[in-house]
Amino acid sequence: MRSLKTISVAVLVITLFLAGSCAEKELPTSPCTFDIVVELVQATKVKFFVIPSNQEAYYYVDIIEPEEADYDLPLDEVITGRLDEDKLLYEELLRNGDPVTNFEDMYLFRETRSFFGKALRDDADHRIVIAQIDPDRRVPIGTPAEMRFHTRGLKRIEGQHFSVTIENNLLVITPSVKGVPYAWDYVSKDVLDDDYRGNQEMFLYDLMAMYEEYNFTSFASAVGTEVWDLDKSVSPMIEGETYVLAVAGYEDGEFTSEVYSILFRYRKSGSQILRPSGDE
Amino acid sequence: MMKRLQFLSMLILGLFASGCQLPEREYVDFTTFHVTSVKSSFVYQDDGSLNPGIRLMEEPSLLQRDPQTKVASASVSDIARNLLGSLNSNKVDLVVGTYAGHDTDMSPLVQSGLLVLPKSGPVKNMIIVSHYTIGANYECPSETFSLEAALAAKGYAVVIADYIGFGVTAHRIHPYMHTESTARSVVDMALAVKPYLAHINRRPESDKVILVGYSQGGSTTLAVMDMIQDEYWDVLPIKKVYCGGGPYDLAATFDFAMSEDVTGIPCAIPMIVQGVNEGAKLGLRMEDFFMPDLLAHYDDWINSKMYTVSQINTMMNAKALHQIMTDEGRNKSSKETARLYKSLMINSVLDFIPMAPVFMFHSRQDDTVPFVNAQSAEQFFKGDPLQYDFGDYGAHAMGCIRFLSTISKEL
Repeated sequence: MRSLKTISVAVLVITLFLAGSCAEKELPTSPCTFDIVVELVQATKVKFFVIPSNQEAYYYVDIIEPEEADYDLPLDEVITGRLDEDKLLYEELLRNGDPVTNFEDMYLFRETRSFFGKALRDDADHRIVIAQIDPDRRVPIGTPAEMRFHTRGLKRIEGQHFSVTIENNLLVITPSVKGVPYAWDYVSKDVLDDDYRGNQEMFLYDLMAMYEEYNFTSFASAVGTEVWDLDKSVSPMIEGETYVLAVAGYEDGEFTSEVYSILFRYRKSGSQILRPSGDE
Repeated sequence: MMKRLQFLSMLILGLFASGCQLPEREYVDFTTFHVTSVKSSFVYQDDGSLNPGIRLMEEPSLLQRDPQTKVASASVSDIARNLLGSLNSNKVDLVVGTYAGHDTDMSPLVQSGLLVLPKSGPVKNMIIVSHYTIGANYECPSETFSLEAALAAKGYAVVIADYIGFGVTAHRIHPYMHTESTARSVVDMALAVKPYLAHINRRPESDKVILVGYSQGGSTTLAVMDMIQDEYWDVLPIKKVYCGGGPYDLAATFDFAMSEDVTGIPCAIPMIVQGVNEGAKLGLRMEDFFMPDLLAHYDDWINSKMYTVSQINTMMNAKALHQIMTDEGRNKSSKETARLYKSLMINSVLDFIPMAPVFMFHSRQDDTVPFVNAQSAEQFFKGDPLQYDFGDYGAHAMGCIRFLSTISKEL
């Protein structure tokens, strides 16, 4: 019995050893530099990659906007200040007995990662800041890196507004300005009130941002008159539930008009608009 | 500002989930767990080797691998032998029973599952296991002794529900990767077993439960956590969650498979399409998605529940997406595929804030459930109490062994 156990343990050890020795691993504290590749800058969003030279290194990453107090500080001070804030928060969680895990798992990144910053200020300078962090001492090590970028201004389509009708559960959206794209979707009013405090603009913004991440904006955007069968919704419609439809001009990942909304009550036998756009 | 860097919008996925509300859940009687069979088994044999009756995870991508990997696969059982370490009781009771659960439309549905108890000694906690992908009904928890069940020998009550489509509901299509219904099965069984344990005087020393799941079970486990937090925190407070190798972000997994035109688990493609279609009642037509050979056979290969994942993969004899799915099925901007894709987004489990510590495990070499899932999860949960163990831990099944070994050491 003992010999079999020994063999089994040996197999495990050898396997783990082989797996671990495929490549000579760097340590998290080995020197690391960062490549920051900005993939896309829009008016309120940025997509970028961070490629650390040492894939084992832990790093901190953030975006700073001009109105933030530390925007004009030297990079070292920015990193130290922000890391101190995270450490304070972490200590507070520990004191409160809240569930926590390793500091590095909670706040730092490792390996090549892509990031998507959103809800940025349009037509403004921004700084992406990155620093390698010693996970044990929780202090910056090496030379931090940064990349500055400027968000473009928001574009507006003059005179764009929308009319919406529902007949036999066919939802029809007609834009006043033809030939330009717009985004739309609907959500239960209760959910909108609970999760977005009724803010349909934030709802539609977040929704479209998520669709962008999945390259799926085509599902919720249209050009010209849009006809949609409510009875074929992906999420089952709830009988008698009140929904909010939000619609706005949308191009290149940004709204090009105000967000218009209507309230409607879904009924299998025939939905009814409760509040047309502009009456909120 | 850091929250602006998150990959996914929690609120939006919350909206999706809420928008996916189903008719009011009918409350069922959880006070009776109907035992249908009890048998005793053991974990280790006298020579110290693992009981050969304990079923290990198959390596789903074995079909595409070279003979060298088969050698590695063979070593899985060797490695599994000592993974549990010291035991409280080598002998365990396997209690099979039925419980009152919920169907995909929330109507009552009798389901089955397995409760495993140490033969002797106190019960420390209830471990709620969400099982990984299976194909044959004889692999389901109520019909087999799976490796996760062996954790009972450490002094725990291990509860493993049969998902809808297995056990006493084997005649049904399994709503594969429909997180709401699979998580509901798991939670319903835990709720049923809890009073049963008190009834047989095996009430755990602590009310806190431990959630465990790998692969499909990994993402289901996060959905179970979310469900318990929302609905049953007072009844099933969570001590810790262990999830490994899970497809947490199905839409990203779809994108990854499409861009690579390959999958490490071919049978998962039809299982996901018909499973999500069944669970979410999308009304999709399989002929819009499946290539002719698959279309002609998927009902036999998958829904007969006669074949294991590896056997189905072998019969499918295809690993490229274009061999499995139609052009329209692979084009997410097409009307019907877009509906499926949105449903995959809804079925993401990255949409809540954990209220208990979570250990997340993934092997970078996992070609069955791509590592992109773990990265998406980490990005989403940054700032939450998740501990990550991502490493070069071999293929999917090998990762499972290591995952369970890690848990066993902690228990």
